[in-house]
Amino acid sequence: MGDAKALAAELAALVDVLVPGDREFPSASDIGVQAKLADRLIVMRGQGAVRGLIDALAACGGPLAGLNQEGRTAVLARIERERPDDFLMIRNMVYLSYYESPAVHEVIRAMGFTYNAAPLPRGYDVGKFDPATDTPRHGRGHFMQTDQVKRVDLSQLDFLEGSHD
Amino acid sequence: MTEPADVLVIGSGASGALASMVLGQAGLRVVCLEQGGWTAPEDHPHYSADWEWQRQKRWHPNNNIRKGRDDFPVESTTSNILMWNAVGGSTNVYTALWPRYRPSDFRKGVEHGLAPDWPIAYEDLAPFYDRVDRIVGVSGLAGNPAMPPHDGYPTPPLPLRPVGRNLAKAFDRLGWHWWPIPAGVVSEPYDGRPGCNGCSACAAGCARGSMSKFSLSVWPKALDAGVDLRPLARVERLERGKDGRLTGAVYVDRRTGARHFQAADVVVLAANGVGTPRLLLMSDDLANGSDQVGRNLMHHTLVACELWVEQPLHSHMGFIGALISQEFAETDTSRGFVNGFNFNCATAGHAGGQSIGFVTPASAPWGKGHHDWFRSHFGHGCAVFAIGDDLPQAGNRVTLSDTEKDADGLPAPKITYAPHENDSRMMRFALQRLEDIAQAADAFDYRLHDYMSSDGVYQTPAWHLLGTCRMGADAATSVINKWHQAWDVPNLYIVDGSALTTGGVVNPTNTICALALRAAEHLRDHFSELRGATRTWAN
Repeated sequence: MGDAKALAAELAALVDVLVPGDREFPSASDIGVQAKLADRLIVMRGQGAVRGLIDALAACGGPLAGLNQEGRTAVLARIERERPDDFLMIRNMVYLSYYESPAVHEVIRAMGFTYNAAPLPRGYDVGKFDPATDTPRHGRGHFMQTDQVKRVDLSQLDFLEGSHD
Repeated sequence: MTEPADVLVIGSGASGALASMVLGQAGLRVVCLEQGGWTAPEDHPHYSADWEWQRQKRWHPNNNIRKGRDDFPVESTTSNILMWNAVGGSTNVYTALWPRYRPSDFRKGVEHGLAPDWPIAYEDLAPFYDRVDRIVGVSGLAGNPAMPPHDGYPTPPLPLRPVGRNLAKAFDRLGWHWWPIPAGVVSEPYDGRPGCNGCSACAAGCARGSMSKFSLSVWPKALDAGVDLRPLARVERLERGKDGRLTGAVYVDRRTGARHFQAADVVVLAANGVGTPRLLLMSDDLANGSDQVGRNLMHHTLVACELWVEQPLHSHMGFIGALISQEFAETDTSRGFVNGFNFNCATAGHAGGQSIGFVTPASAPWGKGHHDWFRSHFGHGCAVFAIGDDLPQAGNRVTLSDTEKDADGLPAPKITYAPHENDSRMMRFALQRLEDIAQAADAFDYRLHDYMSSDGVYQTPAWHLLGTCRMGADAATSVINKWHQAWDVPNLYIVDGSALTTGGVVNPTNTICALALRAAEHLRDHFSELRGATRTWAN
């Protein structure tokens, strides 16, 4: 396999370890998350970031392409343990890229939620405040009027000794 | 040299916009210098499916991460300073929670002496809160028994929704106060702006202007009044004459790189609680005879809980705020600390935000369990923040960095902040109460967040930049008088969050606006006298 295809396969394998598919949700690579991951790595870490990720996978037991699912999971778990900040950044890029996909939005809608691809322009119909049912009737709550504010007893707060007027 | 101004306003955020509008409408020649450009509605990420990703970089509220062309770096190992540098300032990305401070917030000197009294009382500010609500466009429900009565809000409350109703039940179970949260968001058409359509991307500001983005709500009025707003104009220093009064400011036109001097009779600083002390320190320690410039930085105490319940809350829909609870807002020393805190109850994220951890590190696991976690948590969650009144401390401060500079070569601000033991006790108590809420809400899962780093450093998301040029009754311990006039420089006014004496228990933008309106109207009403003042007024 040439370098280009190997790189593509490695990124696809990586995103699928993080977000595999199941009976309803597509896998991350099914919807092209690996391309967004590469783009975002470059935005955050510069031109060499993708190669750096591939090298990191190799250094932690990869490449993933040659491993079974258990082996791939072990590589990612090692990166998570040894390079937690890098792992978190990559994981978050994958998650955010995944949930931008129209295919994933379809699954969310099938779960019973109204879900827009983007917040605007449509927004959501969340109704109006209903004074009859939503006005608090509990009568709880108090405040000190300006002229009611008096010195409190600080004697029990020993950590404050000597620090007040 | 450009034509002299009556008033030079530095900074075009919430306080600078209001000051410019008031003074411009009075017929004064007002110039406002803003280091950033315009953030147009279409610049916001709301129209794109990748908006949550954009929040991680281009729309990140932390300028050290965003590194936008209009930003300056902030050196700090203790504070995640959040701000937006553009016309309208941080109102481009805030969430516009709009509660008021309470009367006792202004009397902490009397109450316990660990912080000074303000030189004004709640009653001095109350009429300006009312007026700000109408200028800015606010929604809310009158009659909150935990606050002094007032005129009510110009638009009805935003809908409670399942998130609010569910949490209201939890507060009822606990016997604690709750109330629909006041918001700087119009719930119906108001002043030419559309009512909120519940898009729920409030964390990236409001592209529609339903939330009061000041470039869409206040600036049009200021511009109509003839204010000369100059974006991309970064002030380098304030200049002083032999008589000790300011003569104006030197600024860089960031489009050309050319330097200009803008003369003015009066200078109003509105550059936020970090930018304002930075500029004073860069201007040969201006207005700092008390050595209080940059000190007493307050961010508020902050801890949070994210919780999930069995029933769907559809919590990716609607305005980000839901309820407020002021059950613990007043001091009760039996809790083991002075001052109080407030609960802000919020929605949860969209799908991406929920999966990476919306307000806490609770995130969907990677691998096999990912989708099952998502199925049980997405749309079922909400967040509760406990935000409290941190004590002002001289050592919590803004200074100038020795190593970092902005794009124009000006020293970056350096922030040092650590909570007082009183603040830490408050946060520990608040975390226990957050756990109470999660249990009362019958949460099947919840996660507390104390904002402690792995090194044990409290690193709050610091939206609130307060106290660094505080007002006071005594020139020896404060920077400005009760009219926001600098004790040391009679034609300098400071109207942003740095003016606050204490931080209160709630989000501060409403109070910053009310103070700025009060200061601007005072300046307007006495301008003939104040423009040539050689002494600062006694309180």
